[in-house]
Amino acid sequence: MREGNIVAPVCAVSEVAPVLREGASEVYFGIMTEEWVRQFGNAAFISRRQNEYAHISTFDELSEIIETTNRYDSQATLVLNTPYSESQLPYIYEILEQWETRGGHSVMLSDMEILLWLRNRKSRLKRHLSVMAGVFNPLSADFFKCLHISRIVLPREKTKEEIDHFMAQASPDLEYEIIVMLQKCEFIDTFCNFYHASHDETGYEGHGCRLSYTCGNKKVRHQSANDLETPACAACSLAAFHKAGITNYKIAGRGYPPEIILKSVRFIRQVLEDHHTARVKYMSTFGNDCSGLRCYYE
Amino acid sequence: MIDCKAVRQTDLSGCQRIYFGHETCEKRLPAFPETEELLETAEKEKLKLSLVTPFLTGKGISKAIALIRQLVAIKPDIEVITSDWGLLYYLVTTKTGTPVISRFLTGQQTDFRLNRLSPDLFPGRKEHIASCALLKSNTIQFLKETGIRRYEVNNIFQPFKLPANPPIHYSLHVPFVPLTIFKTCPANLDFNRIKRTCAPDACDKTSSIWHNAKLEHEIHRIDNALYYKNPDYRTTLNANPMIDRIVFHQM
Repeated sequence: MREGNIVAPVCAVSEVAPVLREGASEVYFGIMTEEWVRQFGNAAFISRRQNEYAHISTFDELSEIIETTNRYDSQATLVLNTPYSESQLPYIYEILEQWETRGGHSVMLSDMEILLWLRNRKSRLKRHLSVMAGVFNPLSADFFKCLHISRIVLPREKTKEEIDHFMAQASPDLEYEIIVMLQKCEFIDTFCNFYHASHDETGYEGHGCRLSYTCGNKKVRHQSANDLETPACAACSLAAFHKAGITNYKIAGRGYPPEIILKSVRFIRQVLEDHHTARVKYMSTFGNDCSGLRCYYE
Repeated sequence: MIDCKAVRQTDLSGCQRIYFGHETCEKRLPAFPETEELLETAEKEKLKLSLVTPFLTGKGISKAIALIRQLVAIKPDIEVITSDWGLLYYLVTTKTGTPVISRFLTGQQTDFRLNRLSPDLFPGRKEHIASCALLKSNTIQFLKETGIRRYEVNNIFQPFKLPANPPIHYSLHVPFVPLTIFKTCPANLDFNRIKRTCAPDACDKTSSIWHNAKLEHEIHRIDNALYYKNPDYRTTLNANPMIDRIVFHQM
């Protein structure tokens, strides 16, 4: 029996229906308009994800996403989860107004200024607090409740023990979401300042978290990031998460090829139906044994 | 900012305040008995105290609160530099100590590569990379209502101008600018071996330097965080006269 919602990323309107048909309960996405790119470029300044192809680009596409998710009795979350400067706020407010006016469901945020703005104008948009906000303990959740949040995405650096401890004291009037597939990183989202630009940018060496470093005569070994062959995963922990009260399971990977997202949704759906054979299903879905080094929350 | 276990070996001449604690790892927060020597020195030298705290797990926040309660009983006006929303919530709702927003929560963009982006390519980018997440009008007002009067900032390379919004005060940290934090120290420089436990061999070392031939600056690993170094703070002070405190790191 299905227990919990799968929350899947999409980068285009055409990706919405396939992930919902595959078993996702909700989708999330970012928007990077041409005007935004003209003003600020296509680095990860609007949604902690670089490049136009990881985002939709027009307000009309907002309506199309709403229409498709409504048709599937689903919902969509607009991701605006980075901190913004004063001069960016008018762009962000316009996007939010468009999203709300057109019937959007929810928005994922971390910037307190925007949470205050939504609260002050009595917005009906549901507010999901991004991992970027850094809710590491239940008292932090209590702090953000006064800003009218409805859901918290838990930091992906927690251990299972820390998650249990958090959920044992967590406020029952909030929803909780946890990342269960793809894009495990060795750094803490909330405090990571490595610049994420497009690889097309002149002189850009790559994300600071993936560059080669040496220390003395030794090489720093980053965590494996091969999500296409051995994707990072928390499938073995799903039953425990559900028991703890976490009901929304997020597939990371905005900007990834749609095939890996569809495979991930299918895999998590199958594990939710029968969590006893997660490793076997991992092998049959992705073609490789899970390495044990790619486990979230270990 | 000093290691409270080494207070007697530290030259405190010219200092008005001691920063102690740990800004990135809850396991490195001192236990109360470890602060006794520091408290004695502060009393003797008439120095004020600021306890620096990191982001905190459920267990970590209990440990931090227990320490703060003991310190406040002796030094009621102690500052608590917080990088954790839960601890801030505790401090303001219980009116404990003097809460200060840490340089990690203030939210500057610190990757030194931002400083070489062409300001002409995209008209809005220069202002964006100089901004701080929390230093916007409504947020400052909201936090002011909870009792926040001081924010801490980094001496980043790209020019920035802090908003003048009395009675808000600013502290500038010199010379290390944080780039990122990892949950635990990497064992033997291998992030694949980050599991549930910390790597004691990495934890006990004060610092190591990482190089990448394409990057113009060295990266300093200090415990579970990466920093770069910018010792020249005169330019920042000239542009931001409302900075009324400099926090020097002895790392």
